[in-house]
Amino acid sequence: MLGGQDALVVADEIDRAITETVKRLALPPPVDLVRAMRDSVLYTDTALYEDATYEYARRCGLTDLGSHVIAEARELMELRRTELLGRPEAETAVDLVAGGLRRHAEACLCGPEAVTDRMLADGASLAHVLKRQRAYLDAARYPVVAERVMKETSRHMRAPASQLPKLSQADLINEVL
Amino acid sequence: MPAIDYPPFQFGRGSAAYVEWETHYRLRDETLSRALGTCLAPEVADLIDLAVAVYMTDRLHRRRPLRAIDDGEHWSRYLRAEVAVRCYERWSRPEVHRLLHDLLRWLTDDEWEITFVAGGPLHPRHSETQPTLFDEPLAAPAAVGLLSGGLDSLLGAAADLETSEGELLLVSTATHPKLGTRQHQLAAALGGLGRRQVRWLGVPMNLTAAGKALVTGPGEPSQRTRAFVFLAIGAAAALSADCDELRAYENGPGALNLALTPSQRGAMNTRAMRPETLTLMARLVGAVAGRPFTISNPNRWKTKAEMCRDAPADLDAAIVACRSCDTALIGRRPKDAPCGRCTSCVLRRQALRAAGRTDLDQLDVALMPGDSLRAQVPGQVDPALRLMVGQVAQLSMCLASCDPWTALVHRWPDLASARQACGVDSGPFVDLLGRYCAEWHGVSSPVVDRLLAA
Repeated sequence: MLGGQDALVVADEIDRAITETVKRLALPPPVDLVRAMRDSVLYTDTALYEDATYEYARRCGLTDLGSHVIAEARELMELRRTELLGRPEAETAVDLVAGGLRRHAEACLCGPEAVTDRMLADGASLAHVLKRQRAYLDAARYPVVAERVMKETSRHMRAPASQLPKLSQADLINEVL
Repeated sequence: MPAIDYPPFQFGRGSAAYVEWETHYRLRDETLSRALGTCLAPEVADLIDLAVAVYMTDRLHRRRPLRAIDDGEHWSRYLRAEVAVRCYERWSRPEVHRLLHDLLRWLTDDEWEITFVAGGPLHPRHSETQPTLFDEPLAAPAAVGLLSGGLDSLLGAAADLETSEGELLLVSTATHPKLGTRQHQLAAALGGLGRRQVRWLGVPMNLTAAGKALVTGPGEPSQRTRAFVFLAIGAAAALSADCDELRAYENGPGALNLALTPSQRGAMNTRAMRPETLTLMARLVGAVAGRPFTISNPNRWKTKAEMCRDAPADLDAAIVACRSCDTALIGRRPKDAPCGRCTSCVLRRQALRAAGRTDLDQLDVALMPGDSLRAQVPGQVDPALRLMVGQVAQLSMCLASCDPWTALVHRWPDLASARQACGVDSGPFVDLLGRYCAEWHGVSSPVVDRLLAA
C-alpha cells in the first residue's frame, strides 16, 4: 500500500488529513498550557502544569488529538524544560501543536496492524519498515498547519499547498494519455 | 471524536434507582474480616464501596457506542457517580477529592465526577456488622501482598517468603469462580515453601444480572478500574491487619506496559501496576486512613525472565498450574489451557525461554493450540507476537541512539511520569529496557530472528 509511494505524495496526504482533523475537532491553541508549563518550571510546582493538562484535555473534548498535544508537552517538560523560560509562549505552543499533529499522523499511519503487515509482506525487517514509515512522517509539514491553528479559527483552515512539483501542460497531457 | 457524557449512577443511597450491594453486585468482603478476626473500619468499608462504585460505573458505560465504527477515536468518557459514605468528612476533603480524581483520570483517561453523600449505604455489609469471636492478628513482622493468580504474583510472593520471618497475608480478588479456585491453590502451594507462614484471603466480586441490566447492551470490555478494586481491597486488608504497606508483584516492563503501537495512547494499555498508579493509590489510602501508606513493587527493576531465573526449584508445579493468559479461565478450553496468542502468553513464553526454562515452556505449549514461535514468516504469526517484537524493535532503535532516554521519552512520553514517580534518574529505566530487549534477541525463533534483523 505505502511500499512504493513517493514520500512527498504521502506527505501531501498527511497534510490534508491533519488539516481536516484539526478543522473537525476545532483544536484549541495550547497557550494556557504553555503558560502553566512555564510557571511550573519557574515555581517548581508540577501541580500547575498537571492541572493545565487536564484543563486543555477538557477544552479539546478529551479527543485523541488533544492527548497527542499533551504527550508532546510531557516530552518537553521531561527533556527540554529550561527552553520554556527563554522562548515566547506562542512559539512553544506552535511546537506543541506541530508535535501533537505528528504523533496523531504517526498513530494513524503506523498504528494499524494492516499497514505494517503489508509493508512486512515484501520481506523487510521491522527496523526497515519503521525507518520507511519515519521518512513518510518527516516529509509532512506539521509546523505550517500548527501556525494556522494559532492564527486562524480552525474551522476555516486550508491545508498547505502541495509539495509536489507542478506539472506543465505537456506533462498533464502525457499523464492523461 | 468528542467524549461521550454519561448521566450519573447513585451508589448505596440516593434516588429510588440507586445501585445496591447484593441486588446489583456481589462482594464477599466478609472473608477479609473473618481472616483477620475484625470488623472493617468505616473508612475502609467506604474505600471498598467507592472502588466497586467506580468499577461498575466504568464497566457499564461503553467507550465506543455499540453501532459506532471502531476507528480508534472513541476512548475517553465523562463519567459520574454518587457514593454514600460513612466518613463523609474524610472523603469530602479537597486533598482526597483531588487525589481520587487524579488517580481515576490516570487509570482510565476519563473525566470523572465523584460526589459523596453522608450517612453511608442503606444496607451495610456483613464485613462491618458481624464481629468474630477471636481476634486473629498476623504474626509480626507481617507483610501483605496481592496474589492475582498470574506468574508474576506467584514468583514475587515466593521471593517474599524468603526475606523475613513474620506472616505473609496474600490477598486475591476474583471476578470469576475459576480464578478464585486457582488463586487458592497457588496460595496453598506457597504455604509449604518458605520459612514464613502464609495466610490467604480471597474476595469474590461480580455483577449480578440486575447489575448488568442497569444498561442495555454489553458493558465496556476495557475495565481499566479493575486495578482500583484490586488495590483497594489489598489496601483494605493491609489497613485491617495494621500494616502500612501493600506489596504488588509485577515485572518491570510489564508494570510499565508501554504502548505496543503509536495508535495506543494513555490508558489504552492498562496502567494497573505503573509506578504512578501505585504512588497515587498509596497517597489516597494514606489520606483516607490518616496515616502514611505505601504500595511497593519489589520487582520494578526486574524483567519477567529474571524473576523466573530467581524462582526456587520447588515452585515448578505451581508455575505450571498458574495461568498468565488473558482468557485461560474464561475461554472454556479443556484444562483452562492458555491461548498462546495473547501478549500475556507471549511474554510468559519469552520469559521462561530466556530464563532457560524451556522445560516449563514446553509444558505450556503442550496445552496451547499451536506454537507461534516456530512460525517461519511474519504472515504466519499472531498479531500479539508481531506487535511485541515490533515494540522491541522500536526500543532497540531508541536504546542504540546517542541519547537513549531522549529517544525513549520521545516515543513513550509517559516514561517521564514513571521516572518521576520512582524518584530516580533515567539510568535504571534504560538499563531495565536494555536487558528486556537483549532477552528477546536471545529467544530462539525463526520469525523473531527475522523480524528483529537489522
